[in-house]
Formats: sequence, structure tokens, C-alpha cells
Amino acid sequence: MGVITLLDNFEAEKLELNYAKNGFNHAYLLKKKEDIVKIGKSFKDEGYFLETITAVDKKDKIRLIYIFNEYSKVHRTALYMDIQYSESAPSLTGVFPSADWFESEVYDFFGVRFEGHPNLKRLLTPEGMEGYPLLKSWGEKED
Amino acid sequence: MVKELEKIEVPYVHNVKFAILEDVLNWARKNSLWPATFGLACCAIEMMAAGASRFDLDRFGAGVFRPSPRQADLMIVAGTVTKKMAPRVKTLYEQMPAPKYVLALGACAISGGVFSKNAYGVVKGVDSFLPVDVYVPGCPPRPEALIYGLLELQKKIKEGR
Amino acid sequence: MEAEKGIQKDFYVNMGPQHPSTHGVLRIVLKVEGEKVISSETVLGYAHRGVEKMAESKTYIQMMPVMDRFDYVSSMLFEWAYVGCMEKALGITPPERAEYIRVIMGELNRIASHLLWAGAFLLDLGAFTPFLWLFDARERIMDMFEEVTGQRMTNNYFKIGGVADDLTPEFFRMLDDFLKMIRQRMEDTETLIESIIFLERVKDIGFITKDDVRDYALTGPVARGSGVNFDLRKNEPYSIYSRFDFDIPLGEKGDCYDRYKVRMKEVIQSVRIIEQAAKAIPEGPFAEKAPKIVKLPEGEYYFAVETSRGLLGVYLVSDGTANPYRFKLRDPAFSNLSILDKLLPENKISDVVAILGSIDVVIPEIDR
Repeated sequence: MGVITLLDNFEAEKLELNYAKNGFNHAYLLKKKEDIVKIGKSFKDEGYFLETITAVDKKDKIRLIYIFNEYSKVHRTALYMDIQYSESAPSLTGVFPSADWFESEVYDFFGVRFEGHPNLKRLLTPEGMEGYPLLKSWGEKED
Repeated sequence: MVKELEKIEVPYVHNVKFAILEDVLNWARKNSLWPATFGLACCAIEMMAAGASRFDLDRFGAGVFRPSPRQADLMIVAGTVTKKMAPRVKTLYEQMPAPKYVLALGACAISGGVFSKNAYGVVKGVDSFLPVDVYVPGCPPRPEALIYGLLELQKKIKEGR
Repeated sequence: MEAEKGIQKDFYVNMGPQHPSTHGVLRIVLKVEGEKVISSETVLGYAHRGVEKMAESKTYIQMMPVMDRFDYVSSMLFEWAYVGCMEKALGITPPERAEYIRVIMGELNRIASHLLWAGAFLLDLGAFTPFLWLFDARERIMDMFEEVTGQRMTNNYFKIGGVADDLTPEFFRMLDDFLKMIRQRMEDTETLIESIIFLERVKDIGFITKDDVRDYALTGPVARGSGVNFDLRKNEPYSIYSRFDFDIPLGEKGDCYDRYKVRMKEVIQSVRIIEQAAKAIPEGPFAEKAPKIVKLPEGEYYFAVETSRGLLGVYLVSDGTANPYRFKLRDPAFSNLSILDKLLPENKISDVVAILGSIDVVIPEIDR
């Protein structure tokens, strides 16, 4: 529970998501994107691991989702972060090496750049891919 | 001199058969198909199952899976061909020595299957860039279907088509 | 120095995307010095179909059969995650019998996956007989699946609110036969394989520490091989797993041998679960009434299950229409593979196959 009280120190809005319905024990919307690295560090100190990083195109912004979990007991915490389309986000690779591929995947699908990522590349899409496929504005040319 | 030759007795002359060389070669080719170990997705598992204990592809002379395309004469395209993989599939095909045959295994290799609509990464059918000899439908096809496809291919080879 | 001029010092070995022991279309670029690997780079995407985009134009039900084709060796466990996520959103609880059927089928699938893995892993290391023995056992599971679902691999058996069809008496007879032989088969395989030749190739290579497990978000047998006791069937007992008595096999050192051993022991634990479930399965309906057209209420849903490779999460965002707004898989092999570039350096080229094999990857699941 230490981490959850810790989140009070940051500007974060608690979201109305619950475990029985949504699958997250806790969910917070971060106001300042710089905070994610510090929060990630304290999550790591508490013994959490980074389950995944993903994103959703909300049509006017991109919402990044960081899901943390614990090995000893399942305690899934989701952190949300809204960014603009051309905006970059701080990278968590310095804290969790697993963020390397997660962030590359988000970059590949959504075009979100991560500041401080050592090796940001298009991870999955074919060579010569134009645009970012999971953006709602992206449409495939019929072939 | 010629008369001398005629006198020579050939003891097993009734055992000698004459045939067109092409037919003999086709007969040999058909019974020693060497497929390349080339799995792309789900169908590869059924291909493995076909090679394993119960279905035993060796019975048809086609069980010698070769890890290198340079030693193989049959490419079983087993699974979804993606846009990133397609140029490599082509290279692999070109590396195989002639005569070579292609068997498209499963719906994905034939037409894209479940991924034929809206999946941007999938090539809709391997026949768009390779000459396919036999199509085996199914998602994935059963090992028996693969064996049937191989027998059809053998028929084709025997007839020299 | 002059003599060395013109000699290339850095050698790169390109392994894949077509390589018999990368289990599909994985590509690893190895920088080597003689036989030793200096560094490596894993290249993904050769099986990238673009399913997450495709999902946005399909209905929820149309995505069901696609779930089988991510991880085709434990397809029902993937269906389970997706169905479970939708059931959570719709507030549907499957009937008792359906839960038991799910556990039996899910565990059979886990066994099938481990058998396939073990066969292919040992084949990569040069042992051919276990491949034939284990595939024989796997074929019996395929027969059972065919009896109930009509398909061998891509079953499409789980439905919202239950399963597609009831188990037949013939199935239970086959299950009985299978349970009788599998323990002996696993024992025989282990006796056959664990000679000095095999042990030399897997022991003391590819160490994964407990810290690595957390850093790289490893789950499943890869994490348990390093002694991290994390199994969603115990940690987050979904469905009815809390009713069964089974152990979580753990490794000690975290080398390739431990990961191999954990999977072999997990087969036996799955057998124990199936035995208990087959004994306790109640009579009753096998499916709850479910809506014909599925529209999830607006919101977002996450549900995770333990597949044979680790933690699989399905994340769905719904906008209230019949199509998912966002469909995302948190797949176990993706994270598990990400540690490969850290494990390979300082090993011999021949060990690459053993280390990669011990991670157990299914490429279409990683590339999606």
C-alpha cells in the first residue's frame, strides 16, 4: 500500500475503476508527465514490475497507460497519462529495461517518441511502413 | 564384328525395361521429395505433427525435412506470409535448386485466410509472388490433408506437369 | 598491425528469419568472435499481421477465432483471456459445469503446449526420440479436442457465458486413458534424455536472476525457473482454480535446465488438476444465455490468465458500439523474449539455440 499513499505526493486524479469490473486495483490519471519516472522508481523499490505500456488514441489526444503489478500478490495499478499527438513522453527504460520493447511498440503503433530511450525503432511493422497504424486517422490503402 | 556381338547372351534380358529418361527422373523425383523446414505460423505445427509418429510422412518419401533451402526441392509455405517476410520467402525460393515445387498450406498462404481483410501486415496469398503447385485448404489443414496434398503433388510430378 | 589490415574484425552471424530452431520467423543478429557471442540484436515483426488494427473493424464475436491464431499451441487459454475479459464487462458468470470444462480443457492445452515445447526443444538439441514420444502423447490430446470441439488446434470452443458444446462420455474415456499413460511417458522421457550430453548443453548456461525477472517483466515458467513464485492460478485465482490442490514447481538457479525442469513438472501438476476436476465436475448446463450481438458497456476492461508461457492480459476499450475501440494483448512471450539480448553475450553459438529454446516463444503471439 506504500505506493498508493506515495501517489498522493504527485498531482494525480483517482479514476473510478475497480477490480471486479475493470481488472485494475487502482487507476490514476497523472497530470504531469515528468512524474512518471519518479513514480516508476518508487514502484520498483516497492517490488513492482512493469506489466505493460500501451496507448489509446482518444481522437483528440493520446492516452498512455502504464500497468504495474506485483509478483507476491496481484495488485494491478494502472497509471494514465494524456499527451498531445506531436508530444513526446519520458522514457522508463532507465528504471525498467522491459520498457525498451514496450515503448518501441507504442512508438511503432502510435508515433509517440520517448525521451531518453536508447534505441527507439519501429519494432513490428514492415519495412517502409508509412504512418502509425493504430492511430484512428490512419487508413490502409486497399491493395 | 556386328555378328560377333549378336552372339553374346544376356542372361536377364527380361528384367531390363526401357523407358523415356524424363519419366524415370520424374519417378525418382516424386518419391524423394525433400521439404524445407519452413514454418511461419499455426500450419507449421500441423506440418510437424505430419512428420511425427502418428502420421509419419516418411512413408511417402517426403519426410526428410531439410533445414536449408539449398538442399530442398519442396517448399511448404505453412502459415501467414507477412509483408515483412514476403521478400525473404522469395529469396528462400530462389535459393532452392530446380526442379522445385511449392505447396501452399492453409488458408493464410492461399488467400490470407482470417487476415484477408483489414490486416495491414498480411500478404493475401503466396501465389501473388510464387508459382504454387498444390493448394491445401484448412485453418490449419489436418496432417491427412497435407499428406493428400503431397500425394497430389507426386501425381503431378509423375505426369511431368 | 599491418598484417591485419584488410581483415574484417567484426563478424556477424544472421540467424533467421528462416532457421529451424528459431521456432518460426524470429531473426537474431549475432556479433561473434570465433565461437563466442559478443552481442546480439533480436529483430521482430516477421509475423506481424496487424491484428490490433484489424480488431477495430471486427465485431467482438468475429475476433473470437482470431484469438486461436495468436498462440496456436495453447489456443484455448488465449480464448479464455478474451472471453473472460468480455464476461467481466458484461457481468456474466458461466455456470459451474462450464467452469470445470474450461479448467479441464485449459489444462489439457497447457500440457499439449509443454509437450510440443519439450519435443521441439530436445529436437533442437539433437535428440530425436523424445520428439516422437511426446508428439504421440500430444496426438491423444488432439483427439480429445477433436471429439469435443471438432478441431485439432484452433478450437474456437470458449463462448461468452460458457463453452460451445458439452463433454461427451467418449471424451472422459479418452481422458482416462490419457491420464493413465502421461505420467509414465514423462518419466520415461526424462530418464531417456537426462544423460551427460544433454545436461552439459543446458546446465549452467543462460542464467536469469530474480532481479532480471522483475526488470524484464518475465512471467510463466521463465520466471518460475528462477525461483519467482508467480502463477496467476495461485496469485489471482480466476475461474475456480482456488478449489484445486496443486503445486507451483520452482527452479533454483535460473539456468536453462531449471526452466526445462519446471515445464516438465508443470505437466504433472496439470494432470493433478485435471484428475480433480474430472472427479468433481457437476451436472448442469454448459453455457449461460449470452447476447447474440455483443456490445460491451462503455469503458475499459483488463483480464489476465496464466497461459503456458506466462501472464496474458487482454485489454479492451469499448465505446459502446459492436466493435472494440482498442484491442491490446499483453502477451507473455513478448516480455520473455526481451531478455534474450542480455542472456546471449559470452555464450557459444551452439548455446544460443538452447537459451532461445528454453524461453519458449511462439512468434505470431509476439508479433501479433
